[in-house]
Amino acid sequence: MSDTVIRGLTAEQVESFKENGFLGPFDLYAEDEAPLVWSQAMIDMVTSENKPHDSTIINYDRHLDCDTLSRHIAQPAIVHKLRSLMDDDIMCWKTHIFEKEPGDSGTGWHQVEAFTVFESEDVSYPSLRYTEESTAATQELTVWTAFSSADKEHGCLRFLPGSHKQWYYDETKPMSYNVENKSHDFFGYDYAELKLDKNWDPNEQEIVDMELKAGQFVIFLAKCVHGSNPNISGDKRVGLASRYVSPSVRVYEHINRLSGFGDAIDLDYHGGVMVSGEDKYGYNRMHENNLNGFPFPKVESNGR
Amino acid sequence: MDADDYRHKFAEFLSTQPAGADLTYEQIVGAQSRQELGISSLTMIVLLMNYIKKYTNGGVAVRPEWVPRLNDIDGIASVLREIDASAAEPARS
Repeated sequence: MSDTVIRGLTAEQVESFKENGFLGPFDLYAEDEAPLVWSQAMIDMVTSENKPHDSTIINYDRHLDCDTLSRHIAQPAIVHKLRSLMDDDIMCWKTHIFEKEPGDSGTGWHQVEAFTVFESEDVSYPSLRYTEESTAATQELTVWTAFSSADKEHGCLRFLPGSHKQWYYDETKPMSYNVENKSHDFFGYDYAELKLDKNWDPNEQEIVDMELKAGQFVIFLAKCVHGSNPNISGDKRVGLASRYVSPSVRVYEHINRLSGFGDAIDLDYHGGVMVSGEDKYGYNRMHENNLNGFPFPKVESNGR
Repeated sequence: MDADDYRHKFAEFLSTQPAGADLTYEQIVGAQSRQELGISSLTMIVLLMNYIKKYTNGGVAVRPEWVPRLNDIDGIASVLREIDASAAEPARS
């Protein structure tokens, strides 16, 4: 059996993913290596001469200027598993740093698919517009990698198995922002405002806590209802979500600026990164090199 | 120089930096962690780079293994000591 097959997903794992909407944990970095990888990423962030944006609150897309994260998004151990779920043509469209300090609260339940962005109270656009049906298991995937311990005590992710099969929330509706209010447990927003059935809550018996060691990752559909536990440990929890779609998906089609968490960034810098296969559509601006000139690695079809 | 000397050296250096503008020498010397001083993890790396520039003329690269040690003042002092030691090593031909 070739390395490619070994590092991809088995038929049983694909079925499990289709059924549950998430799959993991998988090993990527050694447990003692992962914090050093993150430390190097932090050094990259500081030394970067061409940052995508100046916000320190909106922690998006540092794979576009930090060589360490440019390499991370195309790690073969990740890409091979994505290929098993979404075919060979895979574009990374976004990364998001999730740090949880000791004592930070958990993140409330939520589910998304189009990643709706609000221009105003009444005007909103999807970040992702799906242009075609696919025979693959999915066209959108998130990979969440732990760079520190992410067990229950440190605030690991939680999933509601099978919840990607129906909508429990309406992501096209606006939410109120209030960091002081404890019910606003979705980064200052109250995602429960978007519930389709106000009386619905996840069944506690069904919830799966996805505990990760430093260096492990989980793959999931953003539409699978998920959240996280509070960090009751004495250490910071660090994770990076890298998000992937088929290049047939139009990204930020009508969006030039992102606002949220009390800050805003222009998307002039934005572009997709092919981590596998080819862009046969030309719908999105693409980056071949990161903003500091580092060539983005890509997993070739021979698996290397 | 011992660890306490490096704590004082850090206080002297930080007082010359924008990140230390609102801090007194006594506050810095008496602190246990950078968080107490209101310094973020990324700003701490900036400070380390400025220290390297000032005391080694940029002759030492920031090492990833130093970063986790920059959370408490004792750790910072030990890293500064290593930087000075690295700069003092004779060049190898």
